[in-house]
Amino acid sequence: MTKIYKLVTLMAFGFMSLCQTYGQQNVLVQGLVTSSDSGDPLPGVNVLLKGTLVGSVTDADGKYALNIPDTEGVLVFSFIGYTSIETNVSNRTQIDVVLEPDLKMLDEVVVVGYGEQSRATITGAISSVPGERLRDIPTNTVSSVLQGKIAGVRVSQLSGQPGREADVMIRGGSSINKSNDPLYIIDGFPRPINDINPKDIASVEVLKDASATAIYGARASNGVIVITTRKGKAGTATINFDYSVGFQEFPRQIETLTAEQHLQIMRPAAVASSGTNQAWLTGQTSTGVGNDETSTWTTRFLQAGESVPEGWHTTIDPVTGNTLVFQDNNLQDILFQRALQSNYFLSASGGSESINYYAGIGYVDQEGVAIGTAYDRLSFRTNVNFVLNEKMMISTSTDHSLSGTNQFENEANIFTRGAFNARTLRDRFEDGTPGWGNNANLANPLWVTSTRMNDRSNQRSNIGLKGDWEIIKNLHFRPSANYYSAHYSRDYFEYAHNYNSQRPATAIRNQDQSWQYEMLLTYDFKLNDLHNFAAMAGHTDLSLKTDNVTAGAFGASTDNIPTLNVAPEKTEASSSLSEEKLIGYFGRLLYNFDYKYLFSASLRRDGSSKFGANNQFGLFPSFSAGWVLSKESFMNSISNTFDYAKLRISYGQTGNNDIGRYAAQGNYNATYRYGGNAGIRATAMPNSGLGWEKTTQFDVGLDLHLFRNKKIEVSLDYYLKRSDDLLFSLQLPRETGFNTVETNIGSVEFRGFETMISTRNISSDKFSWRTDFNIAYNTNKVLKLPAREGVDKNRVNGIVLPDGTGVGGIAEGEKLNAIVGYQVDFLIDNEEQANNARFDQVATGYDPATGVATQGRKFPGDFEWVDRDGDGNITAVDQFVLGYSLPHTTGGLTNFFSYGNFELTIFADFALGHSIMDIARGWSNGIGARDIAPTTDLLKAWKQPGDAANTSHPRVYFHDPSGQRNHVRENSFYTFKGDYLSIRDVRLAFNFPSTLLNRVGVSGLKMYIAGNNLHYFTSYPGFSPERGGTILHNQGQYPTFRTVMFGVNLSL
Amino acid sequence: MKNIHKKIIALLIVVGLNACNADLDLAPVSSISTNSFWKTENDAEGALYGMYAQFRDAFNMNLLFWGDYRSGFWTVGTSGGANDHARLWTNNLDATTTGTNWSTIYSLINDCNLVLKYVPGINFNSEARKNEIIGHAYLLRAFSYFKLAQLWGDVPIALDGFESVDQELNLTRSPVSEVYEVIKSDLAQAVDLLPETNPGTRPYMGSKAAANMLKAEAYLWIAKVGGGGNADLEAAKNAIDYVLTAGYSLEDDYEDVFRDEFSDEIIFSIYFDQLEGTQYGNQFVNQINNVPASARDTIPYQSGPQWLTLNTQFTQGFLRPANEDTRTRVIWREVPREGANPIKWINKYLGEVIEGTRNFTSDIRIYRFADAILLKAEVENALGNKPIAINELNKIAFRAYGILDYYPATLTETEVDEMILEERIVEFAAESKAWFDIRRFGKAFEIIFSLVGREGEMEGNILLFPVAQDVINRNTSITQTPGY
Repeated sequence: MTKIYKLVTLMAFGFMSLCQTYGQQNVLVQGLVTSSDSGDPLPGVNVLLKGTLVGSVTDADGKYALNIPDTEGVLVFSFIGYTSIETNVSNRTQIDVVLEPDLKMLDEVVVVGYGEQSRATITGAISSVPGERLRDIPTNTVSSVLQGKIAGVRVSQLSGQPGREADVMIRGGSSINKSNDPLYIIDGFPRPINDINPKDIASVEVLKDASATAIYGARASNGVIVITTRKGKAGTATINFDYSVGFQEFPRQIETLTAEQHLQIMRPAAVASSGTNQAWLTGQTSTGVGNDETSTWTTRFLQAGESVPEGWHTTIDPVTGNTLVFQDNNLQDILFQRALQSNYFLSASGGSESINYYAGIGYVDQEGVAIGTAYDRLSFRTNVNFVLNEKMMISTSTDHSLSGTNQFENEANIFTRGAFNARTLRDRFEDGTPGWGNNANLANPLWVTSTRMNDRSNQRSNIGLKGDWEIIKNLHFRPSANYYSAHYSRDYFEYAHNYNSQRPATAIRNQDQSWQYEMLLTYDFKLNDLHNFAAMAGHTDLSLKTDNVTAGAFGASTDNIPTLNVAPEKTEASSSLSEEKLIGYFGRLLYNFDYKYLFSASLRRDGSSKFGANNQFGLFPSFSAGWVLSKESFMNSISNTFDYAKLRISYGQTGNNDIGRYAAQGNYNATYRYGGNAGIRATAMPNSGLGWEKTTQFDVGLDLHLFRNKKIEVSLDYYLKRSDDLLFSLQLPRETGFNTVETNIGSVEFRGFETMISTRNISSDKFSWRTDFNIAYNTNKVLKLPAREGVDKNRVNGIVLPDGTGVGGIAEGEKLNAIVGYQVDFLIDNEEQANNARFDQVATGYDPATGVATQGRKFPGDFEWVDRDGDGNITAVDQFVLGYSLPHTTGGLTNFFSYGNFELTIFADFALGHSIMDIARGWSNGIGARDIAPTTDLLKAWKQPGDAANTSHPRVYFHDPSGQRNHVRENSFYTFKGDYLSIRDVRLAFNFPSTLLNRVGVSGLKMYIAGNNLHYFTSYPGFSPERGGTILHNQGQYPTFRTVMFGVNLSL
Repeated sequence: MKNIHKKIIALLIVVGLNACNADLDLAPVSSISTNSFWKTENDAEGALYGMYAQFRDAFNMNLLFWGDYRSGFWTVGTSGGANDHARLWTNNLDATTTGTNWSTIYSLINDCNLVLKYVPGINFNSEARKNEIIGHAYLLRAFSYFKLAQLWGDVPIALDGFESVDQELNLTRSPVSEVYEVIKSDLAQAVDLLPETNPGTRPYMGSKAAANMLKAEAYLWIAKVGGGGNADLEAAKNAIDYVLTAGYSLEDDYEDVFRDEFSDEIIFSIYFDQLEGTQYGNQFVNQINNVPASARDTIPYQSGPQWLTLNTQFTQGFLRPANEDTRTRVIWREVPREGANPIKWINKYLGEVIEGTRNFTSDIRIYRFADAILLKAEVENALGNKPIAINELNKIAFRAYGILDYYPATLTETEVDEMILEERIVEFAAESKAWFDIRRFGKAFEIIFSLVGREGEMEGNILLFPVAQDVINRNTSITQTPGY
């Protein structure tokens, strides 16, 4: 009901605006605006009837349409990077205009830290994505729309929970075990990107090298993503309405054994396994026959004279020869559904010489592909600029979002555990409740959703006010204030159920607030018309505060009231407050000589409350230079090929302060209880010497335009980053009583290449084809760690062998993010190999023939592991680096086609070089005692001597943790290459001809179909190859899914 | 109009400038930094209960790994194989086996050390209360080092408290004889400082009687395992004599010991309630999935799995039929089912059913009066006072079998020792004492099937635990237990 109400309000708002637009104008003027250098249509050009508020903006095809009061007047066409043109209307209704590029500027303005800069004078590594490209992608988070668009920015969707942001990492990050998230600056203000509507975005700039990021000092080591939201432009109001509806589905199931296969394979295996538990064969288990109608499992013997219940299956028991009768319920089919998504967006923008505005309102309603999950979001934004007088301007930006999320309390318990309950699970009990599954944490997802409520909501508001006072010509004073508040609430309630009838309830209310006050002084000036200077100095003051209230209770007598008030027993009630402060002083000087020789220098001094008293302040300088080669006379001879060429070089320092707000001060935690009394314990060791993590980055880049009219644009970068004094959670000796301490250790080097290529392959009136391609390579190496006596490479947090060598953790000269485990040598195929096999410490060595377990003994069908230290025994030290969790190469390829009124975009992205150790899969295959449905891997298992020639799969073992641990061990067999190519986005759109539309007063109408995450090409057999590293059964996440949306876009 | 614009901008400047002066020294509001703690009596009280909370963390599940499994009386429960626990009850330990990591004990030791370092310097209204808190720290530290010495032999000794990365953080293993000295001196302090309390009042907080129980057990261990002599036995005797006259008594009904948290038999326990953790008894009770609906009125069940249970060596070799020994039904239940497996469970720690859900809230009994009586018997027998030993032993036998003078005075000293151990194994079944008791009587290679003939393994250290690889990775100055 509320959804319909929201929709009606949206529509009403739209039509109100429509009516206003119509009352006043009567003569229609239209035309095409093109660029003189390329001949291409120019979108986004302002068209204004001089001296009035009447105006418009050209659409994506460079076309505009404008209703003016009469046939006289002057139209002004203006566009950044081009010289403005004024032309008399003089009774014409078709006015086409060709704009000349402003030769001083290279047509593009780039948003940089604390300002804007012409692309021509940029000397750092900054990539831009215009908002139009983001608006077209049918996903609802900012991070997901950036995926694959920018070289060196790796976006991976780790969780498909609707509304969840993807993981973003720029140039491989800068830290070892601290956050590698970039800093997000939205309209000049640092805040999370969650719940921002991508359709409100005008542009995204990614600042990658130190010359671009150092102005953000202490928080900039992981790069900065600057997001600018849409602003109004002088001219007639433009109203745009976009509606799309579609479905999401889950394309990648993991193939599990049918109930019959499960019984046929696992019942004999239960007989042959060590520690055979009677329950496995005769108890109330998935494979046992002790079940009755009150059991969660269905397996039992068919009774004499009994007919098979409808929908049940039978098979002959390989153990007893009796007939087994059972159900077959694939829980993945129950968990995953085809889900609906609808998306509404309405925006209005326009303005006059003294005021301009943008307003957007969006509503997203997204069901999850997993039952019981959903996301909805209502977002508003208004950006208004007031020109007070010739010298002063004030702008405000206000946004608010309200989102609701239904999600699982514990995703792993659903996606790697619950969904893999053995398929002999009962679908429904007599009273209609679903079968439970193995236990409360390994439960049937349908049972979970029917017994729990887990609602989260987020309200985020931001209010910004900026002033601009031009004190004297080109000297601007720009103060600003910003306030952000995010209110998060979560309510969890469990109905009374078989495992817990006490109805636990939890309520969390959390508020994050931040305030920023900032002052900037900028001065641009020229000497002799050749020496161009731009200077900026500023001060910023940022405060953050988090309040949290958490309360829990249980013991309510009814399911009808899911709040705490009726529950008599309060389990927890806590409130907490934490604060943080950051003060920065910064300045920047840009100089260029005739746009040929470019220089830039910046300096920032930051103070953070997070660090020890002597280390609060840090200094972050940067320098860069650029040389526009194509302006040199020696390039004249090849200027037909090298239309534009710029060499860039930069060097600078940034910081990382991502540690707990009070980490340096140690902690005594007061939440303990004993005998009903409050207890306090030391839980974190203080480190008063804790200071900044510093990253020094060198970057060299080349920007090229090959052939005329930007036929081919190329941008190349090489960078070398070195992070020193790494913030690191160092494992302490256990004898200290503490687990880790926050400390600064050692140095790591990151380096890589990035290439971006854009080509205009075909550009004609009827047909055009453009291609964007990017690829980036990144690698790293640990340079230095604190000395550890007797330990090779000063390894920390890993396995250290008695001789000092080791594996895993972090060690000098090694790469980060290694995946460590046992390496399969070969599959033992016969008795002789088994008898000669190495002693395997964790193998139980149970021989079903004799019933004797001899620790370490191997049998045919087991893996022989590689013996690292050559002592003939396989122990914990015999582990190897089996892969790395992060890809070394990432990139994307987009092709844009337009033919007549059709547009087609095809975007694919890829990642190479990462591995996934899918222990969760081994767990499914080898954990019979937990009533798990094994994957179809077991059909390929080794069965008898000679099989090793045809299979690499080890033998079936009923409960591998108490067996040979072929499956349940971190090993190379379950380590897969994560390389993937994803058909990420495909979009086909049709623009209705403007001639047709103008008759009904519509300036644009577009219909489209768009798909996201359409297909992965990968050899990884799990849910999503985007996540590297080790996946244990208790580390699963909501898998990503496919989306297909149909939409319509209407402009007035 | 123009003035208004200027005012707005002036306002922004003023606000901005004000912000410049803000202080970067923010102290935590809702947590406590190292600098702000240890100032008041309240801090000391908080630290006392924090220390006991860690005592519970360190000696809950771990007690099973350390005190019970290696006796070999264990097997997997209805819900199947519990990870690597079989490695403990088959005595095939290595550096990755559960229970080989001593981190929780050293966390407790650090808590104790900080109390001992700071509390003496805090002003209290009542000097007596201050001494009590210090006494608790000595008791728990002595308990910790005693367990460490029993399990690993040579262990690192930390007595000063870790507070800063500037300290020497890498300790080495000290000879067990030095550890015994620490235990002895801490126990002397604990016995001296802890208050006398009446039975049934807060048995989950240490007391003079609890300290004397630990003292008796530790000195007896040192005398019999640690190469000590008669002086140690005498010290044990003095300590146990104090406990025997401290007002505690045997329950008439063995079951009451486990159903009444404030029984007069309980000398020292670890506190649990619904808000304060789940004790290890949750490993023993069947999961609801494995109890048919028709039997749920009579058979205890829970939400979690039954991971493990006693094996037939114990249930058939040590347990007598229920009509012969009143303890049997409290220790072990086996309900036959037609055409299916019998339902079996350990019936000691059942917690309580609240609103239809079982919570394992039974306090873990660390010391109870039956233990005091049997320790007395053991000490006296070791000192050559066999008649006193038999007299004490018969107190336990009488409650169990209802027969006076169950054990005749004709038993030899060796037989008396054997009978004491046998009674202890049954009396304290699943109370995490068996491994230590069997070791103290030197019977590990006889009673424990999986250890028969393995005296020489691990360079003779097979009865010790290996040190977890994790411990060595973090501190390479720690050497592995020789042989492992």
